[in-house]
Amino acid sequence: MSKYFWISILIALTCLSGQLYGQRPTGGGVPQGQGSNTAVADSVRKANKIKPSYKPTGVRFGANIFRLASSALSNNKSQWDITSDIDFNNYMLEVSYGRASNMVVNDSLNYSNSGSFLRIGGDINFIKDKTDANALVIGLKYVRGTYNEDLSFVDIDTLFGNTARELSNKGLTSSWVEANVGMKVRMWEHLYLGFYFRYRFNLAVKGDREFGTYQIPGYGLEERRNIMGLDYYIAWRIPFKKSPKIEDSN
Amino acid sequence: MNLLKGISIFTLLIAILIGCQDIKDCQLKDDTNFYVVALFDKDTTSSTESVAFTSIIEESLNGAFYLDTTMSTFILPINTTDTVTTYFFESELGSDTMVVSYDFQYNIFFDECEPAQRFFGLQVLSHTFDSVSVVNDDLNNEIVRNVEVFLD
Repeated sequence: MSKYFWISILIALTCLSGQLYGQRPTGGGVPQGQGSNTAVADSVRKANKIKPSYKPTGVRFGANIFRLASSALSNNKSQWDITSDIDFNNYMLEVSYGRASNMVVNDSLNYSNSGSFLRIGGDINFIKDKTDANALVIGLKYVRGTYNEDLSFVDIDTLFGNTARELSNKGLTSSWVEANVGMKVRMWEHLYLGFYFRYRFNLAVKGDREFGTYQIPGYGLEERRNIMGLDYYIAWRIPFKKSPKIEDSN
Repeated sequence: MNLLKGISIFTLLIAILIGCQDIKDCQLKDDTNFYVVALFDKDTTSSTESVAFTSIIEESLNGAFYLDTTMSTFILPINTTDTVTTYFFESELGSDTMVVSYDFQYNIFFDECEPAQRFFGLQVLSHTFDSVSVVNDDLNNEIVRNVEVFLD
Protein backbone atom coordinates (compact mmCIF):
# COMPACT_ATOMS: atom_id res chain seq x y z
CA MET A 1 0.00 0.00 0.00
CA SER A 2 2.80 2.57 0.78
CA LYS A 3 4.39 2.05 -2.64
CA TYR A 4 1.23 3.15 -4.42
CA PHE A 5 0.76 6.07 -1.98
CA TRP A 6 4.11 7.69 -2.79
CA ILE A 7 3.79 7.04 -6.49
CA SER A 8 0.41 8.77 -6.46
CA ILE A 9 1.90 11.77 -4.64
CA LEU A 10 4.34 11.99 -7.56
CA ILE A 11 1.42 11.89 -9.98
CA ALA A 12 -0.37 14.68 -8.11
CA LEU A 13 2.72 16.90 -8.09
CA THR A 14 3.26 16.19 -11.77
CA CYS A 15 -0.26 17.24 -12.68
CA LEU A 16 -0.08 20.40 -10.60
CA SER A 17 3.16 21.50 -12.24
CA GLY A 18 2.20 20.36 -15.74
CA GLN A 19 1.04 22.56 -18.58
CA LEU A 20 -2.20 20.80 -19.51
CA TYR A 21 -4.02 23.92 -20.62
CA GLY A 22 -1.64 26.08 -22.65
CA GLN A 23 -2.31 29.77 -22.57
CA ARG A 24 -0.56 30.40 -25.89
CA PRO A 25 -2.73 31.73 -28.68
CA THR A 26 -3.74 29.28 -31.38
CA GLY A 27 -3.35 29.90 -35.10
CA GLY A 28 -6.08 32.01 -36.67
CA GLY A 29 -6.07 34.78 -34.05
CA VAL A 30 -7.03 38.30 -34.90
CA PRO A 31 -4.03 39.98 -36.70
CA GLN A 32 -2.66 43.22 -35.23
CA GLY A 33 -3.97 46.46 -36.54
CA GLN A 34 -7.52 45.25 -37.15
CA GLY A 35 -8.85 47.18 -34.18
CA SER A 36 -11.59 46.04 -31.82
CA ASN A 37 -14.45 46.01 -34.32
CA THR A 38 -16.35 42.77 -33.60
CA ALA A 39 -17.85 42.49 -37.06
CA VAL A 40 -14.45 42.90 -38.72
CA ALA A 41 -12.89 40.41 -36.28
CA ASP A 42 -15.58 37.84 -37.04
CA SER A 43 -15.12 38.20 -40.78
CA VAL A 44 -11.37 37.83 -40.42
CA ARG A 45 -11.81 34.70 -38.34
CA LYS A 46 -14.11 33.20 -40.94
CA ALA A 47 -11.65 33.99 -43.68
CA ASN A 48 -8.81 32.42 -41.74
CA LYS A 49 -10.78 29.36 -40.62
CA ILE A 50 -8.41 26.40 -40.60
CA LYS A 51 -9.75 23.02 -41.55
CA PRO A 52 -8.65 20.28 -39.11
CA SER A 53 -5.72 18.26 -40.34
CA TYR A 54 -5.42 14.56 -39.55
CA LYS A 55 -1.76 14.39 -40.50
CA PRO A 56 0.30 13.03 -37.59
CA THR A 57 2.46 15.65 -35.95
CA GLY A 58 4.76 13.31 -34.03
CA VAL A 59 5.24 9.95 -32.40
CA ARG A 60 5.82 9.23 -28.72
CA PHE A 61 7.79 6.28 -27.30
CA GLY A 62 7.58 5.42 -23.65
CA ALA A 63 8.09 2.86 -20.91
CA ASN A 64 5.91 1.80 -17.99
CA ILE A 65 7.63 3.08 -14.84
CA PHE A 66 5.44 0.99 -12.51
CA ARG A 67 6.45 -2.29 -14.12
CA LEU A 68 10.13 -1.37 -14.16
CA ALA A 69 10.00 -0.32 -10.51
CA SER A 70 8.17 -3.52 -9.58
CA SER A 71 10.91 -5.57 -11.26
CA ALA A 72 13.64 -3.60 -9.53
CA LEU A 73 12.04 -4.09 -6.11
CA SER A 74 11.45 -7.83 -6.45
CA ASN A 75 13.86 -10.71 -7.02
CA ASN A 76 11.05 -12.95 -8.26
CA LYS A 77 9.41 -10.61 -10.73
CA SER A 78 10.61 -9.29 -14.07
CA GLN A 79 8.41 -7.17 -16.29
CA TRP A 80 8.57 -4.35 -18.76
CA ASP A 81 6.13 -2.62 -21.03
CA ILE A 82 6.95 -0.20 -23.84
CA THR A 83 4.40 1.93 -25.61
CA SER A 84 4.11 4.19 -28.59
CA ASP A 85 1.41 6.54 -29.74
CA ILE A 86 0.80 8.70 -32.78
CA ASP A 87 -1.72 11.47 -33.12
CA PHE A 88 -4.31 12.13 -35.81
CA ASN A 89 -5.76 15.48 -34.74
CA ASN A 90 -7.97 14.59 -31.72
CA TYR A 91 -7.44 10.85 -32.14
CA MET A 92 -4.49 8.76 -31.10
CA LEU A 93 -3.35 5.28 -31.98
CA GLU A 94 -1.47 3.39 -29.26
CA VAL A 95 0.56 0.21 -29.61
CA SER A 96 2.23 -1.40 -26.59
CA TYR A 97 4.30 -4.50 -26.09
CA GLY A 98 5.30 -6.06 -22.80
CA ARG A 99 6.92 -9.11 -21.28
CA ALA A 100 6.52 -10.40 -17.76
CA SER A 101 7.63 -13.29 -15.64
CA ASN A 102 6.85 -14.09 -12.03
CA MET A 103 7.96 -16.71 -9.57
CA VAL A 104 6.45 -17.78 -6.24
CA VAL A 105 8.53 -20.07 -4.04
CA ASN A 106 7.47 -21.00 -0.52
CA ASP A 107 6.71 -24.01 1.67
CA SER A 108 3.36 -24.55 -0.05
CA LEU A 109 4.29 -24.43 -3.73
CA ASN A 110 6.79 -23.52 -6.43
CA TYR A 111 5.09 -21.55 -9.20
CA SER A 112 6.42 -19.63 -12.18
CA ASN A 113 4.99 -18.00 -15.28
CA SER A 114 6.32 -16.07 -18.24
CA GLY A 115 4.74 -14.49 -21.27
CA SER A 116 4.24 -11.48 -23.46
CA PHE A 117 1.36 -9.30 -24.57
CA LEU A 118 0.56 -6.85 -27.34
CA ARG A 119 -1.88 -3.99 -26.89
CA ILE A 120 -3.41 -1.94 -29.68
CA GLY A 121 -6.19 0.57 -29.73
CA GLY A 122 -7.31 4.16 -29.95
CA ASP A 123 -7.82 7.16 -27.72
CA ILE A 124 -9.77 10.38 -28.04
CA ASN A 125 -7.86 13.45 -26.87
CA PHE A 126 -10.00 16.13 -25.24
CA ILE A 127 -7.30 18.82 -25.15
CA LYS A 128 -7.84 21.15 -28.09
CA ASP A 129 -4.57 23.06 -27.81
CA LYS A 130 -2.01 20.92 -29.66
CA THR A 131 0.95 23.22 -28.99
CA ASP A 132 2.57 20.95 -26.39
CA ALA A 133 0.96 17.71 -27.61
CA ASN A 134 -0.50 17.17 -24.13
CA ALA A 135 -3.32 14.71 -23.89
CA LEU A 136 -6.33 13.93 -21.71
CA VAL A 137 -7.74 10.77 -23.21
CA ILE A 138 -10.42 8.15 -23.09
CA GLY A 139 -9.88 5.04 -25.12
CA LEU A 140 -10.41 1.38 -25.83
CA LYS A 141 -7.71 -1.25 -26.40
CA TYR A 142 -7.52 -4.90 -27.37
CA VAL A 143 -4.78 -6.98 -25.77
CA ARG A 144 -3.54 -10.40 -26.77
CA GLY A 145 -0.88 -12.46 -25.04
CA THR A 146 0.81 -15.82 -24.79
CA TYR A 147 2.22 -17.42 -21.67
CA ASN A 148 3.47 -20.57 -19.94
CA GLU A 149 3.12 -21.71 -16.34
CA ASP A 150 4.81 -24.33 -14.17
CA LEU A 151 3.72 -25.64 -10.79
CA SER A 152 5.31 -28.11 -8.43
CA PHE A 153 4.25 -29.01 -4.90
CA VAL A 154 3.53 -31.93 -2.59
CA ASP A 155 -0.13 -32.86 -2.41
CA ILE A 156 -0.74 -33.82 1.23
CA ASP A 157 -3.50 -36.34 1.94
CA THR A 158 -3.72 -37.70 5.50
CA LEU A 159 -5.67 -40.77 4.35
CA PHE A 160 -4.10 -41.82 1.05
CA GLY A 161 -0.60 -40.43 1.46
CA ASN A 162 1.41 -37.59 -0.08
CA THR A 163 2.07 -37.20 -3.80
CA ALA A 164 4.67 -34.99 -5.50
CA ARG A 165 3.09 -33.11 -8.40
CA GLU A 166 4.79 -31.33 -11.32
CA LEU A 167 2.36 -29.67 -13.69
CA SER A 168 2.74 -27.36 -16.71
CA ASN A 169 0.55 -25.13 -18.83
CA LYS A 170 2.28 -24.52 -22.14
CA GLY A 171 1.46 -22.28 -25.08
CA LEU A 172 -1.65 -20.67 -23.61
CA THR A 173 -3.17 -17.61 -25.28
CA SER A 174 -5.05 -14.86 -23.50
CA SER A 175 -7.01 -11.88 -24.71
CA TRP A 176 -8.96 -9.10 -23.07
CA VAL A 177 -10.31 -5.60 -23.61
CA GLU A 178 -9.21 -2.45 -21.79
CA ALA A 179 -11.15 0.75 -21.34
CA ASN A 180 -8.79 3.51 -20.26
CA VAL A 181 -8.64 7.08 -19.04
CA GLY A 182 -5.30 8.84 -18.99
CA MET A 183 -3.12 11.89 -19.23
CA LYS A 184 0.18 12.74 -20.93
CA VAL A 185 1.87 15.96 -19.92
CA ARG A 186 4.96 17.63 -21.40
CA MET A 187 7.47 18.18 -18.64
CA TRP A 188 10.57 19.40 -20.47
CA GLU A 189 11.48 19.68 -24.15
CA HIS A 190 10.11 16.44 -25.63
CA LEU A 191 9.88 14.56 -22.34
CA TYR A 192 6.43 13.48 -21.17
CA LEU A 193 5.01 11.89 -18.04
CA GLY A 194 1.62 10.31 -18.00
CA PHE A 195 -0.67 7.70 -16.50
CA TYR A 196 -3.48 5.41 -17.57
CA PHE A 197 -6.31 3.97 -15.52
CA ARG A 198 -7.07 0.70 -17.29
CA TYR A 199 -10.25 -1.31 -16.70
CA ARG A 200 -9.60 -4.83 -17.99
CA PHE A 201 -12.52 -7.09 -18.86
CA ASN A 202 -13.78 -9.76 -21.25
CA LEU A 203 -10.88 -12.09 -20.47
CA ALA A 204 -10.59 -15.24 -22.57
CA VAL A 205 -7.96 -17.98 -22.16
CA LYS A 206 -7.35 -20.79 -24.66
CA GLY A 207 -5.16 -23.86 -24.54
CA ASP A 208 -4.86 -27.17 -22.73
CA ARG A 209 -4.10 -26.78 -19.04
CA GLU A 210 -2.87 -29.25 -16.42
CA PHE A 211 -3.88 -26.83 -13.66
CA GLY A 212 -6.02 -23.72 -13.38
CA THR A 213 -4.18 -20.60 -14.52
CA TYR A 214 -3.09 -18.40 -11.63
CA GLN A 215 -1.58 -15.25 -13.13
CA ILE A 216 -1.69 -13.95 -16.69
CA PRO A 217 1.22 -11.68 -17.73
CA GLY A 218 -0.09 -8.20 -18.44
CA TYR A 219 -3.52 -8.92 -16.97
CA GLY A 220 -3.21 -10.18 -13.39
CA LEU A 221 -5.02 -12.92 -11.50
CA GLU A 222 -7.07 -15.11 -13.81
CA GLU A 223 -9.90 -15.56 -11.28
CA ARG A 224 -10.69 -11.84 -11.47
CA ARG A 225 -12.95 -11.31 -14.45
CA ASN A 226 -12.60 -7.50 -14.13
CA ILE A 227 -9.51 -5.65 -12.97
CA MET A 228 -8.79 -1.96 -12.50
CA GLY A 229 -5.13 -1.07 -12.88
CA LEU A 230 -2.93 2.03 -12.94
CA ASP A 231 0.09 2.42 -15.25
CA TYR A 232 2.51 5.33 -15.13
CA TYR A 233 4.66 6.16 -18.14
CA ILE A 234 7.67 8.22 -19.08
CA ALA A 235 7.92 8.99 -22.78
CA TRP A 236 9.89 10.92 -25.41
CA ARG A 237 8.08 12.53 -28.32
CA ILE A 238 9.63 12.87 -31.77
CA PRO A 239 7.87 15.63 -33.72
CA PHE A 240 7.66 15.09 -37.47
CA LYS A 241 8.59 18.67 -38.32
CA LYS A 242 10.37 21.38 -36.37
CA SER A 243 8.48 24.47 -35.21
CA PRO A 244 9.22 27.43 -37.56
CA LYS A 245 11.89 29.89 -36.25
CA ILE A 246 10.70 33.39 -35.42
CA GLU A 247 12.92 35.71 -37.54
CA ASP A 248 14.10 39.07 -36.17
CA SER A 249 12.53 41.85 -38.30
CA ASN A 250 15.41 44.40 -37.63
CA MET B 1 -6.29 24.06 -12.94
CA ASN B 2 -9.00 23.11 -10.34
CA LEU B 3 -9.99 20.28 -12.64
CA LEU B 4 -6.39 19.08 -12.74
CA LYS B 5 -6.20 19.12 -8.94
CA GLY B 6 -9.40 17.12 -8.76
CA ILE B 7 -8.04 14.58 -11.18
CA SER B 8 -4.80 14.34 -9.21
CA ILE B 9 -6.62 13.71 -5.95
CA PHE B 10 -8.85 11.15 -7.65
CA THR B 11 -5.75 9.41 -9.00
CA LEU B 12 -4.28 9.32 -5.51
CA LEU B 13 -7.42 7.78 -4.05
CA ILE B 14 -7.71 5.17 -6.75
CA ALA B 15 -4.05 4.20 -6.33
CA ILE B 16 -4.60 3.73 -2.61
CA LEU B 17 -7.60 1.52 -3.31
CA ILE B 18 -5.61 -0.53 -5.81
CA GLY B 19 -2.82 -0.91 -3.29
CA CYS B 20 -5.08 -2.53 -0.73
CA GLN B 21 -4.40 -6.24 -0.35
CA ASP B 22 -7.00 -9.03 -0.40
CA ILE B 23 -7.72 -10.97 2.77
CA LYS B 24 -6.01 -14.34 2.32
CA ASP B 25 -7.49 -17.37 4.00
CA CYS B 26 -6.23 -20.80 2.96
CA GLN B 27 -9.39 -22.43 4.34
CA LEU B 28 -11.74 -20.21 2.33
CA LYS B 29 -12.72 -22.66 -0.40
CA ASP B 30 -15.75 -24.87 -1.07
CA ASP B 31 -14.04 -27.81 -2.77
CA THR B 32 -14.00 -31.12 -0.91
CA ASN B 33 -12.47 -34.56 -1.34
CA PHE B 34 -15.61 -36.51 -0.38
CA TYR B 35 -19.10 -37.03 -1.70
CA VAL B 36 -22.47 -37.61 0.00
CA VAL B 37 -24.34 -40.90 -0.35
CA ALA B 38 -28.04 -41.37 0.52
CA LEU B 39 -29.72 -44.79 0.86
CA PHE B 40 -33.26 -45.54 -0.35
CA ASP B 41 -35.49 -48.60 -0.42
CA LYS B 42 -36.12 -49.31 -4.08
CA ASP B 43 -39.89 -49.62 -3.44
CA THR B 44 -40.33 -46.48 -1.31
CA THR B 45 -38.07 -43.82 -2.75
CA SER B 46 -39.64 -40.83 -0.98
CA SER B 47 -37.50 -41.07 2.16
CA THR B 48 -34.08 -42.44 3.03
CA GLU B 49 -33.57 -45.94 4.43
CA SER B 50 -31.38 -46.62 7.46
CA VAL B 51 -29.01 -49.58 7.17
CA ALA B 52 -26.78 -51.18 9.82
CA PHE B 53 -23.24 -51.36 8.45
CA THR B 54 -20.56 -53.62 9.88
CA SER B 55 -17.87 -51.84 7.89
CA ILE B 56 -17.24 -49.59 4.88
CA ILE B 57 -13.65 -49.75 3.65
CA GLU B 58 -11.60 -48.57 0.69
CA GLU B 59 -9.55 -51.03 -1.32
CA SER B 60 -6.08 -49.54 -0.74
CA LEU B 61 -6.42 -48.52 2.92
CA ASN B 62 -5.81 -50.67 5.98
CA GLY B 63 -8.43 -48.98 8.13
CA ALA B 64 -12.21 -48.56 7.70
CA PHE B 65 -14.21 -45.41 7.04
CA TYR B 66 -17.09 -46.70 9.17
CA LEU B 67 -17.43 -49.54 11.73
CA ASP B 68 -20.61 -50.87 13.35
CA THR B 69 -22.85 -47.93 12.59
CA THR B 70 -26.40 -47.46 11.34
CA MET B 71 -26.99 -44.62 8.91
CA SER B 72 -29.05 -43.51 5.94
CA THR B 73 -26.83 -40.67 4.68
CA PHE B 74 -23.05 -40.55 4.93
CA ILE B 75 -19.95 -39.17 3.23
CA LEU B 76 -17.31 -41.22 1.42
CA PRO B 77 -13.76 -39.86 0.88
CA ILE B 78 -12.21 -40.35 -2.55
CA ASN B 79 -8.62 -41.32 -3.28
CA THR B 80 -7.04 -37.98 -4.17
CA THR B 81 -3.91 -39.63 -5.59
CA ASP B 82 -5.90 -41.46 -8.25
CA THR B 83 -8.98 -40.98 -10.44
CA VAL B 84 -10.72 -44.21 -9.31
CA THR B 85 -11.78 -45.38 -5.82
CA THR B 86 -13.20 -48.82 -4.88
CA TYR B 87 -15.37 -49.35 -1.77
CA PHE B 88 -16.48 -52.54 0.04
CA PHE B 89 -19.65 -52.48 2.12
CA GLU B 90 -20.55 -55.07 4.79
CA SER B 91 -24.06 -54.63 6.18
CA GLU B 92 -27.19 -56.40 7.38
CA LEU B 93 -28.07 -56.71 3.69
CA GLY B 94 -24.85 -58.54 2.77
CA SER B 95 -21.63 -57.60 0.95
CA ASP B 96 -21.56 -54.98 -1.79
CA THR B 97 -18.97 -53.08 -3.82
CA MET B 98 -18.98 -49.79 -5.68
CA VAL B 99 -16.33 -48.26 -7.95
CA VAL B 100 -16.38 -44.52 -8.72
CA SER B 101 -14.30 -42.39 -11.06
CA TYR B 102 -13.80 -38.61 -11.18
CA ASP B 103 -11.64 -35.87 -12.66
CA PHE B 104 -9.71 -33.24 -10.78
CA GLN B 105 -7.88 -29.98 -11.37
CA TYR B 106 -5.53 -28.00 -9.14
CA ASN B 107 -6.11 -24.28 -8.67
CA ILE B 108 -4.03 -21.66 -6.89
CA PHE B 109 -6.11 -19.12 -5.01
CA PHE B 110 -3.41 -17.53 -2.85
CA ASP B 111 0.32 -17.97 -3.35
CA GLU B 112 0.84 -18.61 0.39
CA CYS B 113 -1.55 -21.58 0.31
CA GLU B 114 -1.19 -25.08 -1.06
CA PRO B 115 -2.97 -25.51 -4.43
CA ALA B 116 -6.60 -26.51 -3.99
CA GLN B 117 -7.82 -29.68 -5.67
CA ARG B 118 -11.24 -29.49 -7.28
CA PHE B 119 -13.06 -32.76 -8.04
CA PHE B 120 -15.79 -33.04 -10.65
CA GLY B 121 -17.29 -35.48 -13.14
CA LEU B 122 -18.16 -38.10 -10.50
CA GLN B 123 -19.34 -41.35 -12.11
CA VAL B 124 -20.21 -44.80 -10.78
CA LEU B 125 -18.29 -47.27 -12.95
CA SER B 126 -19.71 -50.41 -11.34
CA HIS B 127 -21.72 -51.53 -8.29
CA THR B 128 -23.60 -54.50 -6.80
CA PHE B 129 -26.55 -52.58 -5.35
CA ASP B 130 -30.00 -52.75 -6.91
CA SER B 131 -29.43 -49.40 -8.61
CA VAL B 132 -27.33 -46.28 -8.16
CA SER B 133 -27.88 -42.73 -9.45
CA VAL B 134 -25.43 -39.78 -9.51
CA VAL B 135 -27.52 -36.66 -8.84
CA ASN B 136 -24.57 -34.21 -8.50
CA ASP B 137 -21.18 -34.93 -10.05
CA ASP B 138 -19.31 -31.99 -8.39
CA LEU B 139 -17.69 -32.45 -4.98
CA ASN B 140 -18.49 -29.27 -3.10
CA ASN B 141 -19.40 -28.23 0.45
CA GLU B 142 -22.64 -26.73 -0.76
CA ILE B 143 -23.97 -29.95 -2.29
CA VAL B 144 -26.10 -32.01 0.10
CA ARG B 145 -26.29 -35.21 -1.96
CA ASN B 146 -24.16 -36.67 -4.75
CA VAL B 147 -25.13 -40.34 -5.05
CA GLU B 148 -28.44 -42.13 -4.36
CA VAL B 149 -28.24 -45.88 -3.68
CA PHE B 150 -31.40 -47.97 -4.02
CA LEU B 151 -31.51 -51.20 -1.96
CA ASP B 152 -33.48 -54.44 -2.23
